[in-house]
Amino acid sequence: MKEKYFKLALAVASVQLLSAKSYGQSLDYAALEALFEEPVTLSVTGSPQRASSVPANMEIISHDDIERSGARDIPGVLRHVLGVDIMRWTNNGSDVSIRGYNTPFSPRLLVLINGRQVYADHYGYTHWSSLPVELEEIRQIEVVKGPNSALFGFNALAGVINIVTEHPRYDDLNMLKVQAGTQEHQQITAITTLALGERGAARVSLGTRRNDDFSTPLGILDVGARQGDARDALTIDTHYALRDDVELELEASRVDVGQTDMITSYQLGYQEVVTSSLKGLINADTQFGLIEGTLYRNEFQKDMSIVLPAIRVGSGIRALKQRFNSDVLVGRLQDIFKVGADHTFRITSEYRETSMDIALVGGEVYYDTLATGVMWQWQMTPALALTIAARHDQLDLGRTGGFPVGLRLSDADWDRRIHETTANAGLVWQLSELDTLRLIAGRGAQLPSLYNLGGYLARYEFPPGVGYPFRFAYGSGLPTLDPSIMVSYELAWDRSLPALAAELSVAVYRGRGSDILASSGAAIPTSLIVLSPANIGDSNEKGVEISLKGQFDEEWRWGLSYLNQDIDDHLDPRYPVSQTLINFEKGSPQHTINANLGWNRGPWTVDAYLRYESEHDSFQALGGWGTGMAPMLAINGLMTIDARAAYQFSESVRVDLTVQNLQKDEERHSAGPMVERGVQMSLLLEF
Amino acid sequence: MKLLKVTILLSVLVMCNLHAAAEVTQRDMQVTARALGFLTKPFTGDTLMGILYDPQNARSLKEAEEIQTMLGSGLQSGGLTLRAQLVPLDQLGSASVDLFFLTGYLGDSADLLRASLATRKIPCVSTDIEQVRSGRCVMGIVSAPRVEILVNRKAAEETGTSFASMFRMMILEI
Repeated sequence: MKEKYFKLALAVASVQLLSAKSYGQSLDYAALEALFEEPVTLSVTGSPQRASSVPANMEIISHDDIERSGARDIPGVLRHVLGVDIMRWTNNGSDVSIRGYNTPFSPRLLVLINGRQVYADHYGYTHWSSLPVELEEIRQIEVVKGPNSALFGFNALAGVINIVTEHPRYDDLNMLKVQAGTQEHQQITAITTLALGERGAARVSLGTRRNDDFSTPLGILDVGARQGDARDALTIDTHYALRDDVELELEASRVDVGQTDMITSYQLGYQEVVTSSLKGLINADTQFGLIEGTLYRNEFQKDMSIVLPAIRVGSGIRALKQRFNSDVLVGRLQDIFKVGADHTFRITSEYRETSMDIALVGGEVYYDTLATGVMWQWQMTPALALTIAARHDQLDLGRTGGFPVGLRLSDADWDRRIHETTANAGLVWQLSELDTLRLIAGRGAQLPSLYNLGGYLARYEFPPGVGYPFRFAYGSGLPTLDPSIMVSYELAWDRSLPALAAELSVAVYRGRGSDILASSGAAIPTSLIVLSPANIGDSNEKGVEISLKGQFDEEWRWGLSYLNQDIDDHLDPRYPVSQTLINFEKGSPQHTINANLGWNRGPWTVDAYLRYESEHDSFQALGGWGTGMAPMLAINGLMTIDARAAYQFSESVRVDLTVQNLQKDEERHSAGPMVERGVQMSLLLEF
Repeated sequence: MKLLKVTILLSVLVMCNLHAAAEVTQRDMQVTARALGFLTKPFTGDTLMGILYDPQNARSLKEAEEIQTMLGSGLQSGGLTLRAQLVPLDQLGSASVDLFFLTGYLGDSADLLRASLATRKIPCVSTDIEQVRSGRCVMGIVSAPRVEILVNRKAAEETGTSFASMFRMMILEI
């Protein structure tokens, strides 16, 4: 193990040596955006690109968009992006997916902050409240729709969201925001940027929030799930220019969250989550290209309180508290360089260690991943560019801790190596000064979570009379699961409409998903395992996106977009839907419409965002995992409106009124508790 | 192949209204000032840009004067303040400036430029893409309808001009 750390340190240190004769600086989003008069991004190929040139279907949500969205958290902002599905289960708990496929603990979307993964490997999901970032410090949110594993590796199956924060060396952000509202909502956000001599700067951000969950009626298994929500977050992000061409970044964060969340069995639980991270990054503009070394460690600790139903424990329901600990260590070295006038390459090598404790036996399940990737971009003509990227991941799985007597499994069963190759390709053709055509293909992979690979090991009791031959049995993850694969093709056309001061985007896509993963599907009674995850079959998708956005009279801006998606499941009948709780076909709305209208004059800014989702079904937990008691409830077509009105008293003082779910006091978004209207007033002071 | 690429490049640039006689605009100047921030040794503070013109050509002189007016007492971008000084072609060798801006309408008289700029290691910028394509000038700027930047790598090398890698990956090079 020590040798591995040494190699990582050596790799990062080598960047400094390579930079001995170098030139340049790190990516300055603001300066490049000002130069090209459009957003820039690293999230598609890893090399800096203009948003209009990326070989992907991508939306960039600017700081201004975030501010005007009326949202008070990131899922609330993403709700207004076509093709992004949000399920708000509780006041602070949401799941996000791309183009349908949403579930509790949605696993198919990789989320990063400044390139650092914040996706939780242990359960394969993103816990949005525990992300160490405040809305006010976000420069832009980059949403890539479709697989992008060739750049980011496992779990960028349906898409990637990269949250880019302001750069303390380039952006001087100093503010205090106080917010209060319904659901006893109280929130304070403070951000300051500190100069560290002439060559460095640090941004310190602090966020604290207290509020309650909704007060709408709970389900029968949701007892005790509402205990009052709280979030405290601290992030320190330091950038220092070692030379004009070499920059060092050190970032540390910690977030403590307690809140009501929907868990994968479609029942509410109270989760206390602590995430912390340490990251070091050094980049240099050298004669060999842009070289970057990154080393980071994420720690994720979760205490989850749920209740078990009578069928499992004999009489009444019983509270269960489980702790999940997971660590991720990532070391990455990459070089982006240009050969000649027309060819850009990116070469990446990444090492990753991920582990999760198995509380029942005091051991752990872990995997080490070694990945190499290459990207080639060929500017064939000034108007035509081809990008091809591929990545190979080699994963070594392992386990310690042994098994309880009776379970016919051993740690040796976990000695397994998985190879996976993923790829992306894109052709971007500027047909004219007004038209851009994109042809995109991708093969992405979703790794089974550590929980499903064996981190999950629970003992269940079975009282007489429930029809099970044993007095007790186990639920367990399995090492035999395969990664889920998505192969996707897309054709997208963007056209500027100068007469309308508008942009039109049209995209058609088709994807084939195989080896879909379910946390609960198989039973192996002879092994005393009554509940285990499984690869349960295939699911295909196709759809059309049409989007228009523009401005008029300088004061008004507007947007109108429509998504028609069709999901077709081909799931193995051996795994009944009532056990797996997977039915993407019925659980995803076919039609989605987003519309927005905004107005700005003098100190006033007013915006309204509307979203419509057609009828779809949602699981309703009546019996908990493995009981088969989870019917699907039809959710009527749903229209939600978010709005914001703001008044700028002076350059440094602003008051905002934000509303979510404006149209109704309470509305059914899922089979879980109804969602209430939220109203907040905030005072912003900028220094 | 190279000829084909150059032909296609010119076609696209013409399509984007990038013909040789394109009128220089304030927006061009702003893009120029911003692009200069991505040199590996970026200009900072007061930077004198020589506006090269042909005194025998009235249109060239007019354009040079218009650019001088646009820059006024100095165009600011980040830590750079770009100031203009009119430089007739025949004073190219003696002008004490940090960089040159080539006006349009210079035609073949700009042939003198290349050797002189290379000797003095002074970069030049132009909105006349033909000047960049021919290697007389290092960087070509187009600001409408979409910002495009073209760099002639050979001319850059001859004048000792180099750009940040990230910038090179976002522009067109020949």
